[in-house]
Amino acid sequence: MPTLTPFSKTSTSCDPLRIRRRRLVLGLGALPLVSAPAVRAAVGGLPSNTGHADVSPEWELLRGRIFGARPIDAGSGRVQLIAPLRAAYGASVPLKIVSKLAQSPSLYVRKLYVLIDKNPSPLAATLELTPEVGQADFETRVRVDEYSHVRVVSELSNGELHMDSRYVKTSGGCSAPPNRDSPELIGRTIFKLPEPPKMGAPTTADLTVLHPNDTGFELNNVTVMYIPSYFVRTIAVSYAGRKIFDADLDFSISENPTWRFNFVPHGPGELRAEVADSKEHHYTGSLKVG
Amino acid sequence: MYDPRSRTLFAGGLLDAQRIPDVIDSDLVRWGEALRSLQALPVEVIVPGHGPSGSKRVITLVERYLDQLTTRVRALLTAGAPLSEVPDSTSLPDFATWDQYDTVHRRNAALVYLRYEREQLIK
Repeated sequence: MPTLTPFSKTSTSCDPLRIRRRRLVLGLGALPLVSAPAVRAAVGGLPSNTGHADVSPEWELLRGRIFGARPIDAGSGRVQLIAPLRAAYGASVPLKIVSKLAQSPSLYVRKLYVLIDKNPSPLAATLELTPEVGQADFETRVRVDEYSHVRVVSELSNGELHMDSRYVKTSGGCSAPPNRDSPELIGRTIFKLPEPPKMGAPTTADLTVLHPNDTGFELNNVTVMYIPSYFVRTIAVSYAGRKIFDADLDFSISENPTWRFNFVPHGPGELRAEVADSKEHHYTGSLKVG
Repeated sequence: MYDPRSRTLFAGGLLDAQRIPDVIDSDLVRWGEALRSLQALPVEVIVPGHGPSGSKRVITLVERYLDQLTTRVRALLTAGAPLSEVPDSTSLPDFATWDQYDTVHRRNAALVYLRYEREQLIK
């Protein structure tokens, strides 16, 4: 299997298989990168590797653990990750995932993995989607503990894996204190529709769970003990009784975990979220649509 | 700390001069109240936490910064701007020459947005 190193042996061979292999390895090649902006120059002499097929030692390890020897295409443009190069606040870095294919039962995005290479717990989220999302675009906010690659791996229903990554410069995301003013509000689960629903078409919705999502890496200045981790572990979203997506989450997701997603309403119904956190507390939220 | 004899105020973290005040550990409402009570003191010299000492104008400028910051961020939230756009959209030309404008100010914008967003959610 090809290893994911940017300096793999070059070859003068014109064997198309070999060329294809090199393209997979490098994430570059003949296919134009539809939406990829040019690699940006370094700011302040810091790493300039903001390309899309970037590797890191952490990723080399994670890749084997999560995906085994399966090939991952980093240059297809099937999935795009949008993240700020310089994030203003490390405890809440906005991420946007854009899928360059419509969800149809014959071919759809089945899973999305969100990884932050250098975080103490790098796998921030695993989403399991159905064709009912209509369009597999998501937005969320993550903690980024130090300068790191952030990546998304998209698994299609035919088993293909596609990846995009961004280098994010920020820090301190895992030790920033969350709001602890209203413990009685923990678990409140709120849906909002930014625009009116479109029957039979992908409709955007926002879901927020009020939760400190404690990382376990924040020091209590009085006791000089670390505040134990306490975070939202799973969210199951359905509409009119049909699964939209399930999320398996970690404390790398920011305080008050927030997800913008799409769903296709086929008629009036109820958006519903079932939430469980790391203390096995269960919460639900719902919104009538149509 | 206030020395009534020389009418000098050592303001600590409440006041910065020529440097963006950091809102990260602050309660903005109470900070505003504290600044108003400082304005009422017969102060002649203020030694801020950062930056050169000055007159009461040091207080006025910090008040102005916090006012512009919160007004702008509130407007962005009301307009439905996503968090990703907030740091860039909160440019405040009056304070662009202040130290930490490119870092602390951008973080302030994101932090205030997240606080207001939470307030809106729990209403």
